[in-house]
Amino acid sequence: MDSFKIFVIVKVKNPKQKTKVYRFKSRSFVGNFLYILFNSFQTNDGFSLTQAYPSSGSCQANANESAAGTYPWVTVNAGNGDASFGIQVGSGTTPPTISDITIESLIPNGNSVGQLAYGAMTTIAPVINSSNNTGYTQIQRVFINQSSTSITITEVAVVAQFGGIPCKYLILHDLLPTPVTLQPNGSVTITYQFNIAT
Amino acid sequence: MQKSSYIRGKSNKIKGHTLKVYCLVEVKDKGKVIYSKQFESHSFVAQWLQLLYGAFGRNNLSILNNHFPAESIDVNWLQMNAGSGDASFGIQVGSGTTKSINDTALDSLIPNGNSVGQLAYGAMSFTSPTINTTTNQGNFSVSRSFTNNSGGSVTVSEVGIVLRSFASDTNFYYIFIIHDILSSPITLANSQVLTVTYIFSIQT
Repeated sequence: MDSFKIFVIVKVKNPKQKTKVYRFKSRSFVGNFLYILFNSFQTNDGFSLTQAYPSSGSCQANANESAAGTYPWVTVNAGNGDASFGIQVGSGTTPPTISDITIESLIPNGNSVGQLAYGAMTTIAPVINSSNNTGYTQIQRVFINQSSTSITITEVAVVAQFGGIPCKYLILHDLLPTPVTLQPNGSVTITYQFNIAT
Repeated sequence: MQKSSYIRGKSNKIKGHTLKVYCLVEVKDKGKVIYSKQFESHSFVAQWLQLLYGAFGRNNLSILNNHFPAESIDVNWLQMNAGSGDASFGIQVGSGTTKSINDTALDSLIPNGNSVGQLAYGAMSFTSPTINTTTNQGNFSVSRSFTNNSGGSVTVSEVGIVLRSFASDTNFYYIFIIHDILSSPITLANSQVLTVTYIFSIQT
Protein backbone atom coordinates (compact mmCIF):
# COMPACT_ATOMS: atom_id res chain seq x y z
CA MET A 1 0.00 0.00 0.00
CA ASP A 2 1.31 3.45 -0.89
CA SER A 3 2.20 5.59 2.09
CA PHE A 4 0.90 8.74 0.42
CA LYS A 5 -1.72 9.03 -2.29
CA ILE A 6 -3.79 11.84 -3.71
CA PHE A 7 -7.21 11.37 -5.23
CA VAL A 8 -9.14 13.90 -7.27
CA ILE A 9 -12.88 13.66 -6.78
CA VAL A 10 -15.03 15.38 -9.39
CA LYS A 11 -18.70 15.89 -8.58
CA VAL A 12 -20.79 17.16 -11.49
CA LYS A 13 -24.29 18.56 -11.19
CA ASN A 14 -26.07 19.52 -14.38
CA PRO A 15 -29.68 20.64 -14.52
CA LYS A 16 -32.13 17.78 -15.03
CA GLN A 17 -29.39 15.17 -14.85
CA LYS A 18 -28.16 12.74 -12.22
CA THR A 19 -25.26 13.95 -10.15
CA LYS A 20 -22.12 12.18 -11.28
CA VAL A 21 -19.03 11.61 -9.17
CA TYR A 22 -15.72 10.57 -10.62
CA ARG A 23 -12.63 9.72 -8.67
CA PHE A 24 -9.13 9.19 -9.98
CA LYS A 25 -5.63 9.06 -8.65
CA SER A 26 -3.62 12.24 -9.01
CA ARG A 27 -0.17 11.51 -10.29
CA SER A 28 1.14 14.92 -10.85
CA PHE A 29 3.06 16.83 -8.25
CA VAL A 30 5.28 19.11 -10.31
CA GLY A 31 8.87 20.16 -9.70
CA ASN A 32 7.99 23.30 -7.75
CA PHE A 33 6.59 21.19 -4.94
CA LEU A 34 9.81 19.25 -4.66
CA TYR A 35 11.80 22.49 -4.50
CA ILE A 36 9.52 23.93 -1.82
CA LEU A 37 9.85 20.80 0.32
CA PHE A 38 13.60 20.61 -0.09
CA ASN A 39 14.30 24.27 0.59
CA SER A 40 11.97 24.30 3.56
CA PHE A 41 13.69 21.27 5.06
CA GLN A 42 17.11 22.82 4.54
CA THR A 43 15.91 26.30 5.62
CA ASN A 44 17.41 28.06 2.62
CA ASP A 45 17.41 31.85 2.52
CA GLY A 46 16.59 32.24 -1.14
CA PHE A 47 16.01 30.01 -4.12
CA SER A 48 14.55 30.18 -7.59
CA LEU A 49 11.04 29.10 -8.39
CA THR A 50 9.07 30.16 -11.42
CA GLN A 51 5.74 31.46 -10.32
CA ALA A 52 2.28 30.99 -11.76
CA TYR A 53 1.24 34.46 -10.56
CA PRO A 54 2.08 37.15 -11.30
CA SER A 55 2.75 35.99 -14.84
CA SER A 56 5.62 38.41 -15.31
CA GLY A 57 8.35 39.83 -13.12
CA SER A 58 10.43 37.89 -10.70
CA CYS A 59 9.88 36.44 -7.30
CA GLN A 60 12.41 35.38 -4.74
CA ALA A 61 11.18 32.36 -2.88
CA ASN A 62 12.50 32.17 0.64
CA ALA A 63 12.34 29.47 3.26
CA ASN A 64 14.00 31.50 5.96
CA GLU A 65 12.15 34.79 6.25
CA SER A 66 13.61 37.28 8.68
CA ALA A 67 11.17 40.16 8.31
CA ALA A 68 8.31 40.59 10.74
CA GLY A 69 5.04 39.17 9.59
CA THR A 70 3.23 35.97 8.91
CA TYR A 71 3.80 33.96 5.80
CA PRO A 72 2.02 31.17 4.04
CA TRP A 73 3.49 27.74 3.40
CA VAL A 74 1.69 26.06 0.46
CA THR A 75 -1.47 27.90 1.36
CA VAL A 76 -4.43 27.46 -0.97
CA ASN A 77 -7.23 29.34 0.82
CA ALA A 78 -8.31 31.54 -2.09
CA GLY A 79 -11.52 33.45 -1.63
CA ASN A 80 -14.65 33.59 -3.70
CA GLY A 81 -13.87 34.73 -7.25
CA ASP A 82 -10.10 34.53 -6.85
CA ALA A 83 -8.77 32.29 -9.62
CA SER A 84 -5.13 33.19 -9.03
CA PHE A 85 -4.56 30.31 -6.61
CA GLY A 86 -6.18 27.36 -4.93
CA ILE A 87 -7.80 24.74 -7.15
CA GLN A 88 -8.03 25.85 -10.77
CA VAL A 89 -9.74 24.32 -13.78
CA GLY A 90 -8.77 24.57 -17.42
CA SER A 91 -9.34 23.41 -20.96
CA GLY A 92 -5.84 22.20 -21.84
CA THR A 93 -5.23 18.67 -23.04
CA THR A 94 -1.46 18.32 -22.98
CA PRO A 95 -0.24 15.73 -20.45
CA PRO A 96 1.31 17.45 -17.43
CA THR A 97 5.06 17.60 -17.19
CA ILE A 98 7.32 18.03 -14.19
CA SER A 99 8.35 21.46 -15.47
CA ASP A 100 4.84 22.90 -15.64
CA ILE A 101 4.48 26.25 -13.90
CA THR A 102 0.86 26.99 -14.79
CA ILE A 103 -2.25 25.16 -15.81
CA GLU A 104 -2.21 24.91 -19.61
CA SER A 105 -5.34 26.90 -20.40
CA LEU A 106 -7.03 28.45 -17.35
CA ILE A 107 -10.78 28.89 -17.42
CA PRO A 108 -11.06 32.32 -15.81
CA ASN A 109 -13.42 33.39 -13.07
CA GLY A 110 -16.59 35.12 -14.23
CA ASN A 111 -20.09 34.77 -15.53
CA SER A 112 -19.47 35.28 -19.23
CA VAL A 113 -19.06 32.75 -22.01
CA GLY A 114 -15.99 30.59 -21.41
CA GLN A 115 -15.84 31.50 -17.73
CA LEU A 116 -16.82 29.80 -14.48
CA ALA A 117 -17.68 31.36 -11.13
CA TYR A 118 -14.97 30.24 -8.67
CA GLY A 119 -16.21 29.59 -5.14
CA ALA A 120 -14.08 30.03 -2.03
CA MET A 121 -11.64 27.26 -1.21
CA THR A 122 -12.58 24.92 1.61
CA THR A 123 -10.14 22.87 3.68
CA ILE A 124 -11.40 19.82 5.51
CA ALA A 125 -9.70 18.72 8.71
CA PRO A 126 -7.90 15.38 8.76
CA VAL A 127 -9.97 12.26 9.32
CA ILE A 128 -7.90 9.60 11.04
CA ASN A 129 -8.90 5.95 11.28
CA SER A 130 -6.84 4.46 14.09
CA SER A 131 -8.17 0.98 13.45
CA ASN A 132 -6.62 0.58 10.05
CA ASN A 133 -3.99 3.34 10.35
CA THR A 134 -5.28 5.39 7.43
CA GLY A 135 -6.21 9.03 7.17
CA TYR A 136 -6.93 11.85 4.80
CA THR A 137 -7.43 15.58 4.52
CA GLN A 138 -9.19 17.41 1.69
CA ILE A 139 -9.23 20.73 -0.14
CA GLN A 140 -12.24 21.59 -2.21
CA ARG A 141 -13.71 24.19 -4.55
CA VAL A 142 -17.01 24.66 -6.36
CA PHE A 143 -17.21 26.07 -9.89
CA ILE A 144 -20.54 27.22 -11.32
CA ASN A 145 -21.37 27.86 -14.94
CA GLN A 146 -23.37 31.07 -14.85
CA SER A 147 -22.89 31.76 -18.53
CA SER A 148 -25.39 31.05 -21.27
CA THR A 149 -23.40 28.27 -22.94
CA SER A 150 -21.88 24.99 -21.87
CA ILE A 151 -18.21 24.78 -20.95
CA THR A 152 -15.87 21.79 -20.87
CA ILE A 153 -13.18 21.15 -18.23
CA THR A 154 -10.27 18.90 -19.16
CA GLU A 155 -7.59 19.72 -16.59
CA VAL A 156 -7.32 20.64 -12.91
CA ALA A 157 -4.49 22.08 -10.88
CA VAL A 158 -3.49 23.43 -7.48
CA VAL A 159 -1.61 26.69 -7.11
CA ALA A 160 -0.25 27.59 -3.67
CA GLN A 161 1.10 30.67 -1.94
CA PHE A 162 4.53 30.40 -0.46
CA GLY A 163 6.65 32.96 1.34
CA GLY A 164 6.38 36.62 2.13
CA ILE A 165 6.19 37.86 -1.44
CA PRO A 166 2.74 37.45 -2.96
CA CYS A 167 3.83 34.94 -5.56
CA LYS A 168 1.94 31.76 -6.24
CA TYR A 169 3.26 28.48 -7.50
CA LEU A 170 1.79 25.50 -9.32
CA ILE A 171 2.23 22.35 -7.22
CA LEU A 172 -0.21 19.85 -8.77
CA HIS A 173 -1.47 19.44 -12.32
CA ASP A 174 -3.75 16.69 -13.62
CA LEU A 175 -5.70 15.92 -16.75
CA LEU A 176 -9.20 14.61 -16.18
CA PRO A 177 -9.57 11.03 -17.46
CA THR A 178 -12.93 12.12 -18.86
CA PRO A 179 -13.66 15.76 -19.76
CA VAL A 180 -16.53 17.29 -17.83
CA THR A 181 -19.08 19.46 -19.61
CA LEU A 182 -21.08 21.89 -17.53
CA GLN A 183 -24.34 23.15 -18.91
CA PRO A 184 -25.61 26.62 -17.98
CA ASN A 185 -26.36 26.61 -14.25
CA GLY A 186 -24.39 23.41 -13.85
CA SER A 187 -21.69 23.09 -11.22
CA VAL A 188 -18.67 20.98 -10.48
CA THR A 189 -16.97 20.41 -7.14
CA ILE A 190 -13.31 19.48 -7.36
CA THR A 191 -11.81 17.82 -4.29
CA TYR A 192 -8.17 16.93 -3.81
CA GLN A 193 -7.93 14.25 -1.14
CA PHE A 194 -4.52 13.59 0.45
CA ASN A 195 -4.35 10.08 1.88
CA ILE A 196 -1.82 8.37 4.08
CA ALA A 197 -1.53 4.76 5.21
CA THR A 198 0.86 4.04 8.06
CA MET B 1 -34.32 14.61 -5.72
CA GLN B 2 -31.56 13.75 -8.11
CA LYS B 3 -29.84 10.43 -7.69
CA SER B 4 -26.12 10.24 -7.45
CA SER B 5 -24.02 7.79 -9.35
CA TYR B 6 -20.51 6.93 -8.25
CA ILE B 7 -18.07 6.20 -11.00
CA ARG B 8 -14.56 5.18 -10.24
CA GLY B 9 -12.70 6.85 -13.07
CA LYS B 10 -9.91 5.08 -14.83
CA SER B 11 -6.51 6.47 -14.05
CA ASN B 12 -4.73 8.61 -16.57
CA LYS B 13 -2.67 6.60 -18.97
CA ILE B 14 0.35 8.64 -17.99
CA LYS B 15 2.47 6.55 -15.67
CA GLY B 16 3.68 8.17 -12.54
CA HIS B 17 3.33 8.43 -8.82
CA THR B 18 2.29 11.18 -6.50
CA LEU B 19 5.01 11.31 -3.90
CA LYS B 20 7.02 8.33 -2.82
CA VAL B 21 9.54 8.25 -0.03
CA TYR B 22 12.32 5.70 0.07
CA CYS B 23 14.63 4.90 2.95
CA LEU B 24 18.20 3.72 2.50
CA VAL B 25 20.08 2.35 5.51
CA GLU B 26 23.77 1.72 5.21
CA VAL B 27 26.37 0.53 7.74
CA LYS B 28 30.06 1.26 7.43
CA ASP B 29 32.86 -0.37 9.32
CA LYS B 30 36.23 1.36 9.06
CA GLY B 31 34.93 3.26 6.03
CA LYS B 32 33.78 0.15 4.18
CA VAL B 33 30.08 -0.48 3.50
CA ILE B 34 29.14 -3.78 5.14
CA TYR B 35 25.34 -3.50 4.94
CA SER B 36 22.97 -1.63 2.65
CA LYS B 37 19.24 -1.88 2.22
CA GLN B 38 16.68 0.38 0.55
CA PHE B 39 12.93 0.12 1.05
CA GLU B 40 9.87 2.20 0.38
CA SER B 41 8.81 4.14 3.42
CA HIS B 42 5.28 3.23 4.36
CA SER B 43 4.72 5.46 7.22
CA PHE B 44 3.67 9.01 6.94
CA VAL B 45 1.82 9.59 10.21
CA ALA B 46 -1.15 11.77 11.12
CA GLN B 47 0.89 14.86 11.99
CA TRP B 48 1.89 15.07 8.32
CA LEU B 49 -1.77 15.37 7.37
CA GLN B 50 -2.35 17.91 10.12
CA LEU B 51 0.58 19.91 8.84
CA LEU B 52 -0.83 19.90 5.30
CA TYR B 53 -4.26 20.88 6.61
CA GLY B 54 -2.81 23.75 8.62
CA ALA B 55 -0.75 24.97 5.71
CA PHE B 56 -3.42 24.68 3.03
CA GLY B 57 -6.00 26.72 4.90
CA ARG B 58 -3.84 28.62 7.38
CA ASN B 59 -5.72 26.65 9.96
CA ASN B 60 -4.62 26.71 13.57
CA LEU B 61 -3.16 23.46 14.80
CA SER B 62 -3.05 22.04 18.29
CA ILE B 63 0.39 20.62 17.52
CA LEU B 64 1.54 24.23 17.07
CA ASN B 65 -0.12 25.49 20.24
CA ASN B 66 -3.13 26.58 18.17
CA HIS B 67 -1.19 28.66 15.70
CA PHE B 68 -0.92 27.88 12.04
CA PRO B 69 2.29 26.83 10.31
CA ALA B 70 4.70 29.60 9.48
CA GLU B 71 3.03 32.16 11.72
CA SER B 72 6.11 33.68 13.18
CA ILE B 73 8.37 36.65 13.61
CA ASP B 74 11.26 34.77 12.07
CA VAL B 75 9.80 32.28 9.73
CA ASN B 76 11.44 28.94 9.27
CA TRP B 77 8.72 26.74 8.01
CA LEU B 78 9.68 23.15 8.40
CA GLN B 79 13.25 22.75 9.44
CA MET B 80 15.03 19.45 9.16
CA ASN B 81 18.56 20.83 9.26
CA ALA B 82 19.55 19.67 12.73
CA GLY B 83 23.20 20.07 13.58
CA SER B 84 25.68 17.58 14.94
CA GLY B 85 24.63 16.20 18.30
CA ASP B 86 21.08 17.55 18.07
CA ALA B 87 18.67 14.63 18.32
CA SER B 88 15.60 16.81 18.80
CA PHE B 89 14.71 16.93 15.10
CA GLY B 90 15.78 15.73 11.67
CA ILE B 91 16.25 12.01 11.13
CA GLN B 92 16.11 10.02 14.36
CA VAL B 93 16.77 6.37 15.16
CA GLY B 94 15.31 4.20 17.88
CA SER B 95 14.97 0.75 19.34
CA GLY B 96 11.19 0.41 19.26
CA THR B 97 9.27 -2.12 17.24
CA THR B 98 5.75 -0.74 16.96
CA LYS B 99 4.13 2.10 15.06
CA SER B 100 0.70 3.58 14.40
CA ILE B 101 -0.81 6.48 12.50
CA ASN B 102 -1.18 8.46 15.75
CA ASP B 103 2.49 8.31 16.64
CA THR B 104 3.99 11.62 17.68
CA ALA B 105 7.49 10.32 18.30
CA LEU B 106 9.65 7.26 17.83
CA ASP B 107 8.70 4.34 20.02
CA SER B 108 12.03 4.45 21.84
CA LEU B 109 14.53 7.12 20.78
CA ILE B 110 18.22 6.26 20.94
CA PRO B 111 19.66 9.45 22.42
CA ASN B 112 22.68 11.35 21.18
CA GLY B 113 25.91 10.61 23.01
CA ASN B 114 28.87 8.33 23.44
CA SER B 115 27.67 6.32 26.43
CA VAL B 116 26.11 2.89 26.58
CA GLY B 117 22.91 2.76 24.51
CA GLN B 118 23.66 6.02 22.73
CA LEU B 119 24.76 7.02 19.24
CA ALA B 120 26.57 10.16 18.12
CA TYR B 121 24.20 12.03 15.82
CA GLY B 122 25.89 13.71 12.85
CA ALA B 123 24.60 16.88 11.20
CA MET B 124 21.78 16.48 8.70
CA SER B 125 22.93 16.64 5.09
CA PHE B 126 20.95 17.42 1.97
CA THR B 127 21.25 16.54 -1.69
CA SER B 128 19.60 19.11 -3.94
CA PRO B 129 16.65 18.19 -6.16
CA THR B 130 17.34 16.51 -9.46
CA ILE B 131 14.69 17.07 -12.09
CA ASN B 132 14.67 14.91 -15.21
CA THR B 133 12.48 16.58 -17.81
CA THR B 134 12.73 13.58 -20.11
CA THR B 135 11.25 11.11 -17.66
CA ASN B 136 9.33 13.73 -15.65
CA GLN B 137 10.90 12.35 -12.52
CA GLY B 138 12.44 14.30 -9.68
CA ASN B 139 13.90 13.59 -6.30
CA PHE B 140 15.98 14.92 -3.45
CA SER B 141 17.40 13.26 -0.40
CA VAL B 142 18.19 14.00 3.22
CA SER B 143 20.54 11.92 5.29
CA ARG B 144 22.21 11.60 8.65
CA SER B 145 24.97 9.46 10.09
CA PHE B 146 24.98 7.85 13.52
CA THR B 147 28.26 6.68 15.00
CA ASN B 148 28.53 4.13 17.75
CA ASN B 149 31.17 5.42 20.18
CA SER B 150 29.60 3.67 23.15
CA GLY B 151 32.10 0.86 23.52
CA GLY B 152 29.34 -1.74 23.15
CA SER B 153 26.81 -2.68 20.51
CA VAL B 154 23.65 -0.67 19.82
CA THR B 155 20.66 -2.06 17.92
CA VAL B 156 18.53 0.18 15.69
CA SER B 157 15.07 -1.09 14.78
CA GLU B 158 13.14 2.08 13.84
CA VAL B 159 13.79 5.34 12.00
CA GLY B 160 11.78 8.52 11.63
CA ILE B 161 11.74 12.19 10.71
CA VAL B 162 10.87 15.13 12.95
CA LEU B 163 10.43 18.66 11.56
CA ARG B 164 10.92 21.79 13.63
CA SER B 165 8.65 24.78 13.08
CA PHE B 166 8.09 28.17 14.64
CA ALA B 167 4.81 29.71 15.60
CA SER B 168 4.01 33.25 16.65
CA ASP B 169 4.76 32.69 20.29
CA THR B 170 8.37 32.20 19.13
CA ASN B 171 8.56 28.70 20.51
CA PHE B 172 9.81 25.75 18.54
CA TYR B 173 7.36 23.00 17.75
CA TYR B 174 8.29 19.50 16.70
CA ILE B 175 6.25 17.68 14.13
CA PHE B 176 6.74 13.94 13.65
CA ILE B 177 5.95 13.11 10.03
CA ILE B 178 7.47 9.72 9.12
CA HIS B 179 7.94 6.53 11.11
CA ASP B 180 9.39 3.30 9.75
CA ILE B 181 10.15 0.02 11.45
CA LEU B 182 13.14 -1.78 9.94
CA SER B 183 12.30 -5.24 8.66
CA SER B 184 15.59 -6.45 10.14
CA PRO B 185 17.06 -4.60 13.13
CA ILE B 186 20.63 -3.42 12.64
CA THR B 187 23.17 -4.04 15.37
CA LEU B 188 26.04 -1.59 15.27
CA ALA B 189 29.30 -2.72 16.79
CA ASN B 190 31.50 -0.16 18.47
CA SER B 191 32.90 2.39 15.96
CA GLN B 192 30.52 1.38 13.19
CA VAL B 193 28.52 4.10 11.44
CA LEU B 194 24.90 3.90 10.33
CA THR B 195 23.74 6.33 7.64
CA VAL B 196 20.01 6.77 7.08
CA THR B 197 18.90 8.48 3.86
CA TYR B 198 15.35 9.43 2.98
CA ILE B 199 14.68 10.02 -0.70
CA PHE B 200 11.63 12.07 -1.69
CA SER B 201 10.54 11.26 -5.23
CA ILE B 202 7.84 12.53 -7.58
CA GLN B 203 6.94 11.52 -11.08
CA THR B 204 4.57 13.71 -13.06
